[in-house]
Amino acid sequence: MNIPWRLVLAHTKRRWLRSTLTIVSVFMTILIFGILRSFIVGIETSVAEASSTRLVSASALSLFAHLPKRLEGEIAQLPGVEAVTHWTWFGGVYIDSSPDHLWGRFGVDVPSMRKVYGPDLILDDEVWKRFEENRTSCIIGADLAKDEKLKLGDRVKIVGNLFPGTVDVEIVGIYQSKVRSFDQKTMFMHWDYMNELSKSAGGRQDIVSTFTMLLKDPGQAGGLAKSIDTNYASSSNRTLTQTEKMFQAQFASMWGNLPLFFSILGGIVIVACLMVTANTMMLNARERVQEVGILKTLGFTPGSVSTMALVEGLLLCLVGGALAMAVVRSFDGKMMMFTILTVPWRTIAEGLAIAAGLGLLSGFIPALLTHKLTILDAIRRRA
Amino acid sequence: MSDHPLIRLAGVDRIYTRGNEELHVLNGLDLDIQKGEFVALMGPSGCGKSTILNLMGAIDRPNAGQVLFDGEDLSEMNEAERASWRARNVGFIFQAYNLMPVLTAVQNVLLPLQLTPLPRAKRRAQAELALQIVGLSERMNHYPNQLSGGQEQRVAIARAIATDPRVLLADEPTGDLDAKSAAAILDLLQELNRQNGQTIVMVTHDPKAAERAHRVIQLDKGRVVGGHAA
Repeated sequence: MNIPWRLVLAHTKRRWLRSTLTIVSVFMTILIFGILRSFIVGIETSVAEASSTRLVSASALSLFAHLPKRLEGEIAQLPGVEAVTHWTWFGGVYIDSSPDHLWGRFGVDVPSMRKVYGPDLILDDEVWKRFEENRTSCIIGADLAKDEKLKLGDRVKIVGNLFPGTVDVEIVGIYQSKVRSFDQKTMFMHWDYMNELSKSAGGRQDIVSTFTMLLKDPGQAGGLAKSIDTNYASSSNRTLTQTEKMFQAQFASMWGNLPLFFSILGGIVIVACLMVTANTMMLNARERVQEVGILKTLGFTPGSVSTMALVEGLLLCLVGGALAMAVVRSFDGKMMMFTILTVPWRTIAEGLAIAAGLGLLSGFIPALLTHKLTILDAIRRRA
Repeated sequence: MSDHPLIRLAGVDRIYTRGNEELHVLNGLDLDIQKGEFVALMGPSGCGKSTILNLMGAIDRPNAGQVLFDGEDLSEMNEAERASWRARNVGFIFQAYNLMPVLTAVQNVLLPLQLTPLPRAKRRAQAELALQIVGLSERMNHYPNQLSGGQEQRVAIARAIATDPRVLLADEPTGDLDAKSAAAILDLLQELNRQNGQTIVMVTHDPKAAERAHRVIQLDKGRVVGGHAA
């Protein structure tokens, strides 16, 4: 099939403003799709990559309720438990309350954390040792260091809100994660230190957010979880124990059916963009009725002339889509709403496929009209 | 000139329908065009001159009768076959030039050459030669809006002859031009006919233009009403 490519490119160049606006509208659409999709994939990935050899116990009331620290000893005694550690969400304000400075900050027990989570992190023995020995030290994730421009030896001050007092800790290590479920935008400090601060300021004390158990045998996870929850079923500290994978899924479900909402939102944006690009292509086709007649007169077949209309829409949409997906790809690994944006090649392919679909659909009716247009009608400029 | 006609219209009817009204433009028309002839079609508006050109160029179909080109019935071809046939055999020249405004002169001339099996370099050489023949070598990279009407028509002629077609069909080629430019275009057509033996069928209202042809065919109400050697 003979397509006058030079003419296609010349049209795009000649109507540069229209072409640019079309590209920008597709760019925005695919960008929105890409970001929403990356968020959904991020949630799915964190659930999929979470460990099934660890159990997480939290309050059965809510993720925001606490459990007494003393349960740690009791849980550690249970058969099948290799090690127990605990995390406590400190909250607080770093610099200001803007979302830019809102990242995870937890009080932990360093030796047990190393035992339970150490294999997931890239951190030298020397750093673990320094962290363990210095009660007012902390380690931070590599992404957090980059985003907040923090380096080793810097001090981080966080004004408490859930717990009173201001923590003032020195960065002794910057970790990288081996798995996506362990994000790199979190700070870990000594639970003892934050607990003591809270205690001296008259705040809450001896409480933790979650316990994490490393299991001797993952096959025992179900029985052990049931056993822990049964133990505390009739106490004021009812627990909900599940594998880390299920815990991540529960965390993700806090967003409600956000993936569905995002999918609907993305769909609406794509349809709106289709209307815009289709309108542009129709306008182009109307302006070029006579040119279609000339091309057909010169000997271009109806198929090649109508393909020209399709190709033009396809080119513009693919350029917009490719630019958008390049930007989306650069978001890979970034945090958004406590979720690591994940941009696999599948998402890139989906974005490009949608852009191509937009191009083909928007060019379909103009192509059909072009195909049917007789030379005589075209030359007389009757569309 | 050969006795064997290059183009033969035999008993051709062409009827256009507008709403409920039928417009009989051609009524049982018979017409032969010999190879190498330069023929002018004249007659009042609506007499069917342009319709004949459209039928000869296979951009329209008769309601009855036959349009034969070198013995081949054009009516029996489908759209794709007719397109391919046009690319090989016909060069069109329109009154309004009908150049692509987004392409330069040489790019316009290259358009029909894209449909030939020639390699890219050869196509370019052929386009440049065509522009040289019409005297526009110096302006091959100009866009149509940077050319005068006469120059635009020269580019259109270059586009029409670039593929070395067997017939040139010109519909009022001087209709939009001033007298001087019109004379130059007619000189060019005449030269193409004389030097290359190019068959030309030209529709015109202008008796001076018709004088350049070998033969003038007078039409009225869809029939040949007279003809003479110019």
